[in-house]
Amino acid sequence: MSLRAKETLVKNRWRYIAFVAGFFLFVAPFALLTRAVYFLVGNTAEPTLHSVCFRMPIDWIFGGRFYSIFGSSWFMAAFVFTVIISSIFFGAVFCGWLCPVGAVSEALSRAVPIPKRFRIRIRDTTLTVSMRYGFLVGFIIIAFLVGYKLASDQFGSICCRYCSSSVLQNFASALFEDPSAVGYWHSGSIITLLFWLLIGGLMFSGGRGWCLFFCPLGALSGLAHKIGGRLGFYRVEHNKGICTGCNRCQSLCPMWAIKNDHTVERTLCVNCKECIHACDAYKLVRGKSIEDN
Amino acid sequence: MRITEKLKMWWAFAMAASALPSSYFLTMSCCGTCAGCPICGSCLLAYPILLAIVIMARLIRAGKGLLRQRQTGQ
Repeated sequence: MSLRAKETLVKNRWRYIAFVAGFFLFVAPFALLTRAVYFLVGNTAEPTLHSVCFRMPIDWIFGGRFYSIFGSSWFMAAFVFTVIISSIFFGAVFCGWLCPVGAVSEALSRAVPIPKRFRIRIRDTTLTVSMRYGFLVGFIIIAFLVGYKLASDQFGSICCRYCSSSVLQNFASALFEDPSAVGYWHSGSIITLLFWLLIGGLMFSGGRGWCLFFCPLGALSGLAHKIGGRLGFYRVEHNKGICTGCNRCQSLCPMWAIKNDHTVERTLCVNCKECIHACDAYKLVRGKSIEDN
Repeated sequence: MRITEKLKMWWAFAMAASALPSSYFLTMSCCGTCAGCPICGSCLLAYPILLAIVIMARLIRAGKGLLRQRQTGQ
């Protein structure tokens, strides 16, 4: 392990501990958070990662299936709304600190030492943002058409076809419970595995390819964070005065959120603090911006 | 923002926005007749789309490097 990798690991240790905590909080057979809530409300169902699906409530909202939100899946919807609303005040911290899907792909990216020249990175943040919200619009269009019966829903919604949570949950179930759970493969899950872990995890610099382009919850949390940042809530800011232009922040940011002028693109930022720990020019601020002080 | 940058931005947005709906609808005929696989034939388009995204990202990077080289004259 290089000196820099060790330094990064030590400085960001709380986030990496949170990754592990996120796994135990949401993924079965543990699913400690969901289990605790189910226990409190007297729900006897066995919780899994699907109990807090990160995408289905978004699919329901845009598909007009509000009865699902206020029905038996209220916990799933409440969880998604909490994540989005908390992003206004604290940034997309769930994505950056707790989400097990993003954590696994990022951890894999950091653990496998592929040379940087073989990894893909789009340095133009406007392009990344355009693609991220383009995919979100595509997701919403399908949710709307299927939800309002303008297209066939015979074979399920778009979010369940390519579900990285299912892949992760089945891996975990196979590892900790029944090994036969890993035999769940179909072509959708193979495509998901390829993009989530192989392309988005290993081949994309930072290992957050899935989060960047295919996660509607991440995209909506990013929008909420942008609004929160404008209102003066917690956000990462760049101090031009002490920037040396070394570009280390750009190479460290897993979400490709640092622009070429080193300011932060808030729709991509997950408040992971990698840039803050690597460089004094970045600070987590609330209220007035650094330049106003 | 320059007009070329705006065009590039909207082009990327439009491509990304059309990827999911097109993969969903263009494969409906396959899906409607068989449904043997859970993704309803989307694999027909999903692989090329994923590959195209990767190749596009690579090309954009290479193109930008080339432009930068020309601008700096190195």
